[in-house]
Amino acid sequence: MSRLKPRERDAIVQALRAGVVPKLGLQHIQVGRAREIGELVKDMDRIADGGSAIRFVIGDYGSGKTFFMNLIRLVALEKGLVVMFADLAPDRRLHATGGQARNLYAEMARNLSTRTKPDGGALGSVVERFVSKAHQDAEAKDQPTGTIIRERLSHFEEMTGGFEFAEVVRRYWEGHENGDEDLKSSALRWLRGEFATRTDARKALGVRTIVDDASVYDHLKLMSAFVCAAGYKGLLIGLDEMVNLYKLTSAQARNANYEQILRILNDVLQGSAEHLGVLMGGTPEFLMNTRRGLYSYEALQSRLAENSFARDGLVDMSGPVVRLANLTPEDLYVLLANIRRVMQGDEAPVPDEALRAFMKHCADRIGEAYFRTPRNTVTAFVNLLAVLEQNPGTRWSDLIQTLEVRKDGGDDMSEIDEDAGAQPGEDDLVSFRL
Amino acid sequence: MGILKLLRIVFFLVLYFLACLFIAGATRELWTDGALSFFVLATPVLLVWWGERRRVARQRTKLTSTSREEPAPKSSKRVAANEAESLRSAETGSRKGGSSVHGKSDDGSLAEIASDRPASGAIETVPQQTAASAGYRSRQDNATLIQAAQATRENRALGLKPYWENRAEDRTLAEIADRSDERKPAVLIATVQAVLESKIAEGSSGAIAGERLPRPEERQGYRSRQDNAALVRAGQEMRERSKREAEISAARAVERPAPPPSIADRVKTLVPAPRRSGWIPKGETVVVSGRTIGGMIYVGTPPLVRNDYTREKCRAFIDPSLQVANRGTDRDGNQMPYWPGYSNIPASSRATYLDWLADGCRDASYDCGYMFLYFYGLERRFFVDAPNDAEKKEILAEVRRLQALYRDNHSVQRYLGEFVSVAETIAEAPENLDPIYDNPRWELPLALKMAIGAKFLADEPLSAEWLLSWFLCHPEKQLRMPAERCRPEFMALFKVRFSQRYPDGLKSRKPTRPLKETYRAASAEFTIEIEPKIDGQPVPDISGARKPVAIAQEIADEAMIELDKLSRFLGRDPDGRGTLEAHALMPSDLWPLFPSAALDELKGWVTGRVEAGGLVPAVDVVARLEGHRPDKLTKRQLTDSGDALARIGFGLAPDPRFALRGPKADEPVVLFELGEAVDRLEEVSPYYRVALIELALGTFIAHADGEIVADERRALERRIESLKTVSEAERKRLFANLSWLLSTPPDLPLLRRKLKELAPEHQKAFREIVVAIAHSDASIEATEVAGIEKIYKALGLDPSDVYSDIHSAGTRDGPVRVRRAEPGAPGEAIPDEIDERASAMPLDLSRIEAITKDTAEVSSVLGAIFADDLATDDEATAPNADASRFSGLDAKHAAFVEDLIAREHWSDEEFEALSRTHGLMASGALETINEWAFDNHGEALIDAYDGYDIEPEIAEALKSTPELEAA
Repeated sequence: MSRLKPRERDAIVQALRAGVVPKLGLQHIQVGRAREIGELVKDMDRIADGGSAIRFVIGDYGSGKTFFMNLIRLVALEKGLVVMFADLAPDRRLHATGGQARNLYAEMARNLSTRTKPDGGALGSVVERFVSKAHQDAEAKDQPTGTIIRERLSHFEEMTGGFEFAEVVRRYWEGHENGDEDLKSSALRWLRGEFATRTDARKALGVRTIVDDASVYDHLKLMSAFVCAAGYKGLLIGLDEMVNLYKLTSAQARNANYEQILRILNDVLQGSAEHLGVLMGGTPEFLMNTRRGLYSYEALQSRLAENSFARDGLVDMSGPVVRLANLTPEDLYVLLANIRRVMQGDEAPVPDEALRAFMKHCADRIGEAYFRTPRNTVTAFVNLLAVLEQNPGTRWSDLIQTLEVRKDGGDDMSEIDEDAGAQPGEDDLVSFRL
Repeated sequence: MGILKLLRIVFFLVLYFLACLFIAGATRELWTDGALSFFVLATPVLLVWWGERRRVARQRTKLTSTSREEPAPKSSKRVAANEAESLRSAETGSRKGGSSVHGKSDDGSLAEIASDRPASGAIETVPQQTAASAGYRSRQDNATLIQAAQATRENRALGLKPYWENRAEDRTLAEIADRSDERKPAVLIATVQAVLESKIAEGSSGAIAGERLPRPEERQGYRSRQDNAALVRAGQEMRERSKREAEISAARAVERPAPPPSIADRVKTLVPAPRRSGWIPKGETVVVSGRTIGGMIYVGTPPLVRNDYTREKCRAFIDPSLQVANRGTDRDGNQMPYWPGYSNIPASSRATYLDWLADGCRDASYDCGYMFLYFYGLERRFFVDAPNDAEKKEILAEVRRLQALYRDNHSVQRYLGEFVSVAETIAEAPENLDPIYDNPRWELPLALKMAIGAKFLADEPLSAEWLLSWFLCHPEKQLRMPAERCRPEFMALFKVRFSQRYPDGLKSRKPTRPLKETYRAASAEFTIEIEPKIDGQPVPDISGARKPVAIAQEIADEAMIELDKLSRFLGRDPDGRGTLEAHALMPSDLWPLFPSAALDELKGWVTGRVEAGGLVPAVDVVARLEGHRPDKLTKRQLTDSGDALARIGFGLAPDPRFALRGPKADEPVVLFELGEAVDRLEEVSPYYRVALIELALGTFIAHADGEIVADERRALERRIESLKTVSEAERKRLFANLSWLLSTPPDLPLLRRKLKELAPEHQKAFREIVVAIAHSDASIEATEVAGIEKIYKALGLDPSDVYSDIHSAGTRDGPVRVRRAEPGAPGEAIPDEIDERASAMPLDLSRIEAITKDTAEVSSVLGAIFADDLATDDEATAPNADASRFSGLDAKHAAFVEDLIAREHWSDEEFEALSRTHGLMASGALETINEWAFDNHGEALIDAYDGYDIEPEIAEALKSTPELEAA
C-alpha cells in the first residue's frame, strides 16, 4: 500500500463529499478489479512504447465505468501520456454532418490534459512545449525556429490534414515571435477545432481547412503524433457515454458512427496507429443490442466477440471488451473500509460494525440502490466520518439513524462532475472535467 | 264341439242344397231329370264333406306352424315330402289321409273296403280316425289324438315321434286285436293285403309304383315283411293276453337283437324291453343295401319304443328290410322329417343316410338330420345300453367329433352339447373334466357342476380356471366389451389377478343341496335322471352358490378395466391383435403370457437405436409400432407410441403431452431407456414441466447462432444435473428431451405461447438459463442476443434488461482467483467478530476477504505508478542537460527555475514577464519544468491556479541542490 499523502487525502475527501470521482489518490479507494486495471496499465505502457490499444469498458450504471476510466486516465497521465477525454452527447458524436463531430473534437481538445495540467486545457502547454523545444533547438543549431518546426512536422504532411496542422503550429510560433496574441489564440482555436467555417480560419490563420466533421479521427491521429513530437509518450483518447450513439434513432447516422468506431478499431488493432490508445465506456445495451448496439454492426460484432477459449474460469483480458461487474454489498463494504482508512488513518477508526450498521441503514432506506449506485451512500458515509472527526465524543451509533441517504437519481457520476468543471458557463452542455 | 259340428254340417247341407236347387232350376232344360235330382242331392253332400276335410287340414297346419321349432317353410316342405310317402303309408296299413290324389284314392279304396266288408265296428273306426287325422305330421297330430285318448301326456315326449309312424294306427290295431281276440291274424293280414293290392292295382303313382312293382312271389314276401312291424306290434299286445305270439313271430324275417340290459337304476326308459338290439360296435362292419358301414350303429328290426301313451319304432335302428333307393339323392334332407327315424324316411333319404355312414360320417355337407339319426343310436347306446367305460369314452369321442363336424349348426350344438355335457360327467372322472368357458344355455353345464361340486366335496380350493369357467358359464355374469373383444387376454388376466388375490385358490362354503340332473334324449325316446355320487357321497349342487361368482365378477371387472385400452384399440382396428401397439396396450402382467415376436424385435431395434444415440425419425418409430407409415403424425399416435415404448422400458422424447410441440413426421425423436418402469407417463412433477421449458429456452438460444457447440450442450446438461427437485427418472427424460431439442430447430411462436401460460415466478430461472446458455460458449453472438431479446419479450420482461443480465452474467461477480489464498497473507484483515447486526445485513466474509486481497493487489499496482519514484533521481540526467544547475533541465529552464523558487507566488503577468526575460514561452516552460519536477521530485513545482504557486518543499530542495551539485 502506497503512502497516503495528505494532499491526496484531502482531494479524496473533497471529491467524495461532492459526490464526484476524486482526481487524486484513486488508488487508495479503488476496490478490487486488479485484473482489469493490471491489463489496462499494461495497455498504457504499450502506448508509451509506441503501440496502440482500444478498450470498450462495458458496465451497468453505477458499476463504476467512469471511476474506472478516470483511474486509467490518471494512470495514463502518470505514465506520461496526454489524455483527451470527453463524453458523447446528442451534439457530440464521432461522425456527423452538422458539426457534432467537430463539437466532440473541440470538447476533447479542451479537455486535453497532461500530468502537469491534469484538469485539462493543456493544449496550449503542449503546443508551447513543442514550439519552445523547437526554438531551443533552433538556437542551438542557429537556424530559424520556423525551419525547425517545419522539419519536425514534415512527416505530418503525409498524413491527412497534416500540412495544415503543421502550418497552424508555425503560426503559433509566429504569433509568439511577433507578440501577436490574436494569432496565437487563433492557432489554438484552430487546433481545438473551434473554427466553424473555413473562411474564418483563412482570415485568421491563412489555412484553407479546418477540423470538421469528416476529419475528426484524422486530427486525433495528428494530435497523437504531435504530442509525441512534443516529448510526450502518447495520446489516450477517452470517450464516455457511448450509449448516446445507441440512442441515435437514425440507423444511417448510427451506422456512420459505428463505421468510425470500426475504423479506429481497425487502425488500432492492425497497428497502423502509434502511441494511441482509445477507451470507450458504455452500457451493455450499447454493446449488445442487436438492433441498435454495436452488435447490430456485423463487422464490429465479429471483432468484439470474446475469445472463445476464455471460459470456465479462464480469462482473457486482452480482448477489446472489458466488462465491469456491478458492485455488490461486499464491494461496498470494502470501499467503505478504504474510505474509513483514508479519512481516519489506522488509529482508532470506527469499528466494522459501524460499517455494517451504516450499510443496513442505507439498505433500509433505498434498497439495492445503495450498492448499485453507491455515490450517495459514499457521500453520506464521508459526511458521517467528517462529523465524527470534527465532534469528538459523538457516538457513531447515534448518528447513523439520523442519516439522510438520497436515492441516486442520476445516471452517472460524470454528470455531477461538471460542477467541478474548470470552465463554468463556457458550455451549457455536459462536459468532463477533473 | 260335436253339436257345433252337426249344426255346421246341417247348415251347409241346406245351403248347398238350396244353391243346387237354384242352379238346377235355372238350367232345367239342360238336364235330364235323373241327373238333375242326383246333382241336387249329391252335390251338397260332397261339398260339405270336402269342406270338413279342408277345415281339419287347415286347423292342423295352423297348430304345426305355431309349435314347431323348425321354421314353417321347412315343416311344410317336410309335410309335402311326407305326402309323397302316402303310398307307403298305405302299404303299412296306415290310414292316413293326404291332400294328395293318392291319399284320397287310398281313402276312397278304404272306404270301399269298409263298405264292402261286413265290417265290425272296430274296422270301421279305422278310416274315420284316419280321416280325422289326415295330414298329421308331427306331434300335434299326436297331441290331438292324445287329447282324445289320454289327456295327461307330456307333449314333448310325444313330439319326438316321427309323424308317419302313426301311433293312432298302432293303437287302433292293438284295439282291433284286443277286441277281436278270437279273430285270427290272418284275417287282419288279409284285410291289409286287400287294401294294399287294391292300391297297387290302381297304379296311380306311375313312377313309384313302377319302381316298386315286384314279382308276385316277391311281393308276397315283401308284403309280409313290410307288414310285420304293424303285425308284430299288434301281436305283441296280443301275446300278453292270448299267448299267440309264436304264430306271429314265425312270420318275422329278420333276427332281432336281444333286449338291452336294464339300467333301471338310472334310466327310466319308456321302452318296454325291446326284443333285440343290433348294436354294431366300433371296428366291426355291416353291409346294408350294398354299403359297408363301420360300427356304432344299430342294425335290425327296430324295437318299439314307448312314449307314455304311444309307441313307435326306435329311430336309430337301420332296418335292412326297408327299401333303400339305389342312389342317395337327398343330401339336403329335403325329404327328411324334422324328427327322423330310419324307418320313417323315404328310400332315397335312407340311401343318402347309408352313403353318409359308409363314408365314415365325415361329410358335413349332408343334412344334419342324417347325423341326428346316427346320433340317436349313439345316445341310445350310451344311456340305454350302458356299455362299459371304454365304449362310453369311444361314444363320447365320436359325439364330440360330430359336434365339431357340424360346428355351425345350432341345433346340433345344442343337442350334442347337452349330450356331451352329461355324458362326460358319466364317462370321465370329475378330476379329468376340463373347464368350460362357453355356455350357450341358461343353466350351468353339468360337467362344470360336477367338477366344481367334486372340488367342494373334496374340500379343495377353487383354482382360477375353474372359477373363471364357473363365472363365464354363469347366467348372471356381467361382461363388458373388453371381455368379448379380448377374450384370451381377459381370461389370462383374470387368472393372473385371481392368483394375485388368492395365491392358494379360493375357498368357499359348500352348498348343501345335492346335484341332480335330468337328461332328455335328443331322440325323445327316453329321459334319464342323474344323481352323481363320489365315493358314495352326493355331489353338492353349485348352481345356487353366489359368493364365488360375486368374487369372480369383481376380478373380472378389474380385468376389464385394465383391458379397456386394448379393447378400444381392437375396436378401432379389429385386425390389430398381435401388433405391437396392441401388445403394448396390454397390462404388463400379460406379456409373458402372450409372447410377441414383434415385441422382441422391437425391443431389439430400440435397444440398437438407443445405443446408436437414440435419434430416430419420428415416422420410423410410429411405423414400427403401428405397422404402416403415416403421412402425418398426430398427437395421439405419438402418445400411444410413447406409452407403448414405456411399457418395454423405453422413453420417447418429446412426449407430446408436455413438449412445446410434437415432432414433425420427418424430424427425429429421441429414444432412451427410462431406467425404471414408468406406468403413467402422464404424471410428472410441476418442476419437470418448468425444467422442460427451461431446456426449450436454453436450446432456443443455443440454436440461435446456428450451431450447437459442445459447451452449450454441456451447460444445458449441467443445468439438468443441478435440478434438485426432479426425480431421477424425470432427469433421464429431461436429458432425452434435451437431445431432442438440440436436434430439432426451435419454434418461437409455440415457445411464446407456452411461456405466456407460465406463472411469473419461474421467470428468474428462465432468465438465468437463457443468459447462461448464451454465455456458455464464451462469445455472445448477436443472434443469441436477439434470441434472448425475443424470449424476454415473450416473458413480458423489459427487453432492455437483456443486456444487463447478459452483462452481469458475463462479468464475474467476484474477483478471479489469481493465486491461492494464503492464510495470514498481508493485507487488511477484516475482524472476525460478527455482531447481531451482521446477520441482519448478510455479507459474504470470504468474498470480502477476496475483494480485500484484490484491492490490496490493485493498490500495489497503482501505488507503484503513483509513488514518488525518487530512486531514479540520480540516473535521470537528461541527455541534453548542459551544465545546468538542475540535472535534466536545460540551462534556460534552470535559470528560470532558479528565479522562480525565489518567491512562493507569482501572478500571471509576473510569470509571463519572467518567462519572457528568460526567452521562454510561459505555458511551455511550465510544462517542461513540471514534467521535470514530476520526474525528479514526484510532484509539480509550479501549481498554476490563480497565478502560479511554487511548491515550497521542492523549492527548498532545489535551493539546496546547488550545494549538493557543487559538492
